[in-house]
Amino acid sequence: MNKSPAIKILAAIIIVCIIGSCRQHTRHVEPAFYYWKSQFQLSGFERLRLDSLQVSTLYVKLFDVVWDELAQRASPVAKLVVRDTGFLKNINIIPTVFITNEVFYKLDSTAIRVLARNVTSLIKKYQQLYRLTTFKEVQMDCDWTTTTRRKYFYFLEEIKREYSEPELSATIRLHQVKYTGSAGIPPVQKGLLMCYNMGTLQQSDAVNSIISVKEFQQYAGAIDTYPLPLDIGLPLFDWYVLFRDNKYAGLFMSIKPSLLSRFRQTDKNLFEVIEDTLVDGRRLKVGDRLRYENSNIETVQAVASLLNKKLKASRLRVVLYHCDSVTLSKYPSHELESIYRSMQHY
Amino acid sequence: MSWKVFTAVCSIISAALISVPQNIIGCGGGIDPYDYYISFFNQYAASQIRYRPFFYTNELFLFDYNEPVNTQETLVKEWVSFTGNTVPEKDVRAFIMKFPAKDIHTLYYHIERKTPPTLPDSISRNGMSQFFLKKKDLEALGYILYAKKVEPHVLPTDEWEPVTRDSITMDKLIKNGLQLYKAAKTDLFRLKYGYQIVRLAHYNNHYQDAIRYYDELVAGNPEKSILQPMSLALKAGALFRLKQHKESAYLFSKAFHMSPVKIVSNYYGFNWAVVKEADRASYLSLCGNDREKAEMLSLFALQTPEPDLNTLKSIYRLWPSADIFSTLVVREINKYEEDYLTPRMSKEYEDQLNGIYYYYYYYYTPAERDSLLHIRQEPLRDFVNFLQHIATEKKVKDPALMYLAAAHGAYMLKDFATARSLLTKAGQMSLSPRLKDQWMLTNLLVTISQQEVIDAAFEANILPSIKWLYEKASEGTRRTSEGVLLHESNSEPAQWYRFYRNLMMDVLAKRYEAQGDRVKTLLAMGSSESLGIAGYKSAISYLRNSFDSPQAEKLYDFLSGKQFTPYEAFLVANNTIKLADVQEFVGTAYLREYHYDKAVSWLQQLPQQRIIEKNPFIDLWFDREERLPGDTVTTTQLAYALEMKKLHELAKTDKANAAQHLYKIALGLYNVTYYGYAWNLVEYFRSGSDGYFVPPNATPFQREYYTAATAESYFKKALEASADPEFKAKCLFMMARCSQKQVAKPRYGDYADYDTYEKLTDRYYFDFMNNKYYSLLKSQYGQTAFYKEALTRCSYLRDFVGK
Repeated sequence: MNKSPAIKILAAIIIVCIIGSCRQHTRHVEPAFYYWKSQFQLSGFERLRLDSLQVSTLYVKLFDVVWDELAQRASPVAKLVVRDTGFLKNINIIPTVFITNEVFYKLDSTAIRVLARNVTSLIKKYQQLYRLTTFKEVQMDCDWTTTTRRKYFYFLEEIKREYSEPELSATIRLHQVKYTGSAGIPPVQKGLLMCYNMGTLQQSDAVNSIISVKEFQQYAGAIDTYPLPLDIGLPLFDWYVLFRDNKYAGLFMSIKPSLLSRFRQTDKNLFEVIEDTLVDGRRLKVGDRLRYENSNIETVQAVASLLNKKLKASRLRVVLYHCDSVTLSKYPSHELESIYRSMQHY
Repeated sequence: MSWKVFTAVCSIISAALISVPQNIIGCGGGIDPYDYYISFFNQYAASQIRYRPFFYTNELFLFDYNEPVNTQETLVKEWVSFTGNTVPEKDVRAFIMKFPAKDIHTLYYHIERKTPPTLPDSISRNGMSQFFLKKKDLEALGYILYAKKVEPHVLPTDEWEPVTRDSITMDKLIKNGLQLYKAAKTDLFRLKYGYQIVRLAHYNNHYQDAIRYYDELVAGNPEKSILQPMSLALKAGALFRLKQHKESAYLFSKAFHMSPVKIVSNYYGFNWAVVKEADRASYLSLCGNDREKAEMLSLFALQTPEPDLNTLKSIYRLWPSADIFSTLVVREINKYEEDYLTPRMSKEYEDQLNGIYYYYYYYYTPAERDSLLHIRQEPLRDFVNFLQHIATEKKVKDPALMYLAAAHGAYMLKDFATARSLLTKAGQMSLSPRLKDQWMLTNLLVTISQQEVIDAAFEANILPSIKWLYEKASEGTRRTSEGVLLHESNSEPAQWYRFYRNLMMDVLAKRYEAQGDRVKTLLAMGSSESLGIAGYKSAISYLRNSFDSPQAEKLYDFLSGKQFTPYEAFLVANNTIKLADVQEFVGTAYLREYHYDKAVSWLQQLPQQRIIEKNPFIDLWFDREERLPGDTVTTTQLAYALEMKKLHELAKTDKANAAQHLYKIALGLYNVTYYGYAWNLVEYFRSGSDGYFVPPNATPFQREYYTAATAESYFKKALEASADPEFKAKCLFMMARCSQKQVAKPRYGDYADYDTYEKLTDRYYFDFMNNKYYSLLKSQYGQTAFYKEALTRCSYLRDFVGK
């Protein structure tokens, strides 16, 4: 029996559609970095790296806002001092302000309006001081909670009202993407999804709280439905987590190899203190445990790949944390390139 | 649903919830960095307030982050001295710190060129303005004008301004400053200009220049001023930026000891400059003489959280009269209080340290504790001997403090004879008010420790000291509008409050408990809290958790009888435990012991009955501790006691319905266990993490509260009194629920390793499910309507009977 031509045509159309939908799309990936130090002066190595990676955007932290218990007010600290204004003029700068969650516990709505005004004023003063081009985007960074959500969102609204020209973005943590019911959606134009610090730092049996594919997968399901456009942040840092009597007792950003060799290595990333030792002026006692956590390139690449599947935007900014010669020297250039490259097709 | 699957699902959900950061942020409090070990030695004892930032705490980088001396005020005082003390400080302060440059310009030009002094009244009337008008000192005025030009480039003007470094202007100011330096007529102004130039070069990141300018313009200047150490610190900072760490550390050490001004800043500088702590010798090699070595060693000592007698000995050998030595000695004593006294006292009384939350933050296993005591004992003895020796040599600035510290060390070692002898020696010397207070406290501790039994005669003997300590503890307390007492944690009065608390809670209360005197234990605990901030109340918890009914009655009789000795009267008057608390508790105690007659008799006397929003006779399929939505039934302890009493009588007299009465009694008993609906008839607090486990050293009440054994026996009596299979099924079901509570659930912290815990937990679940009554329920009452309904209402039952 001959099949009707109409059916054949329909089948052909369907096949073409299926093939078309399987075709890869190209995405424009904009490489970016965070600069998180309070003195802006790039070393030669850092400049080379940024150049070789064709980094066109730098998120520069201008200052932190913390709660001053003595003065009972929110105050700026760690204000940026720029030693190298030339570089800043030749790159797209996104000024970032980090605000501790505690600030929003303490402030009422009047004080929040004043804070927003102060923050925007200080950002504008930096722009004038260093004669930078008008900022296209400004970013607020705060790990808000259910309790501070209302006040933090009000703060963001006030920032937008005071400083309407640039696009306003906010950092978003993975748990805030997953639990939008309690975390809410911040009133900004875009978010930067921080794909790090995803595990439970203070849990003694965690493996790597900075980045882990398994942890990421717990949150990944919600990314593609998040109602804000998202840029992506990925980590390039490491630290040692201290546990005493199975309780979290602090962090060390680095420990000299000569000191580390005096500890007993009990597992791939676990060390036990076997004699009382001073590290950076802090006393470690016998029995204390250290857990080394890092941003292993394979893991970062794996998370980037998973993210790539979730994101459908044709343009994406991928931001690595952070621009620092010690950190960058641990990764060959091609490894960092691969992170950006892995997100160029979807 | 399988029990294990259900548990696994719950665990996963719980783990996920626990993973959400806000839960972690919300859980638990933080350690108090000024109150995390037992202490009785005043950190202010050396009376060296300038070193307050460096008093001992191992929980913060500094004891106090504020500079103890205000730099501006010190500079103002120098200017006052410059005027020959003719101008008041407030006028100098306003002139130097507040008046705008343009007005000072006007004054300058008026003096220089006799231009009209169009100044605001407030400025023309100012004493400093008058001084300059009289003295016509253009050099000084000119300097002030120059300094005001420099200021915006080296100081933040407003916290909401960016940090500005206008290099070109700063270079111009340096050039101008050098010209003015050359033209200066006195060492004073050459020093001032030199300081400003060094400062400008430093903040302009021209570190080599900053160093050169210091060497050329400041180093040889003989003028005495705080600008000397301030300039030296700027050079030290420049050396640090150039990574000349040793030289930087050396100069920061010098600046630190030259003046109390910016002492915190200089200490930070030293701390950062010391890159290799272990390489002390290479830093010390830069010191020019013994005094400088001693000074640098003292900064190394400040960095050390461990006892460090060797460094103290070195400092003493090099420069016995070192100013900071007394502070270092007090720090060592505090270190030993943390590392020796606290574990020693915890060992003596089985970790029951209620005064501070030591237990919760620094829990040592017995083996770790013994090890620590063993490690620290000999060094402490060496330290005591050293202090004794240097006290006799009298080369230190404060030999009395050395004797006192040695006495305190001997007290910690329980060497009371030596402590007594050292206290005597200290007492014979001239003591500052602070040392007198410390002497009294250490003496009191030794006296109590030496006393074998604390009896009425001894109490009378120590009462004046206790009262004295109480007065010191209450000094400087401050009440909020809610009447809550507050203490600034690191203030001196706060320490005395803690000394009183520690003495009453961790010394006297423990001694009374060891003597079996529960009343005095309670009163000592309650007195320790009487000055405290609102929070965890150990005394009332002790009353409610440890006293049975006879003890509670005895306590009530004692308090109401008011036949107090002066010591007892003092404790009672200054106490968180009130007669009303005890009166209420006696009734509760009798309820707990099922003495309903006595409970009724006590509860009837209460002025007010506490409303409990629960029905103690509710019959539920499941355990529920919170009030059910829509439940409006309330009761009181008195109503409950009366009903239980009536039910017991009815069970005897109304034989026809005895089973129902017995069942209701059983419900009344079950609902006042940990698992019951009306637990708050007999308890004041219920933790969600208790249950299915009888705590060690449990009282009879606690045993019953956590096992529901008596309730089980009454359900059994009800079963035996009835012929109705439906009713019997219900009783057996309840007996099974009671019986399950008697299977002890393993607790993670009780086992050395997770594998053992896991094995025992598996065994626990097996025993929990294989309850003897469930199989009986199925085999004997499996055809009853109750059983069939139970299977639908209670999904676990299906699992239990299925096994």
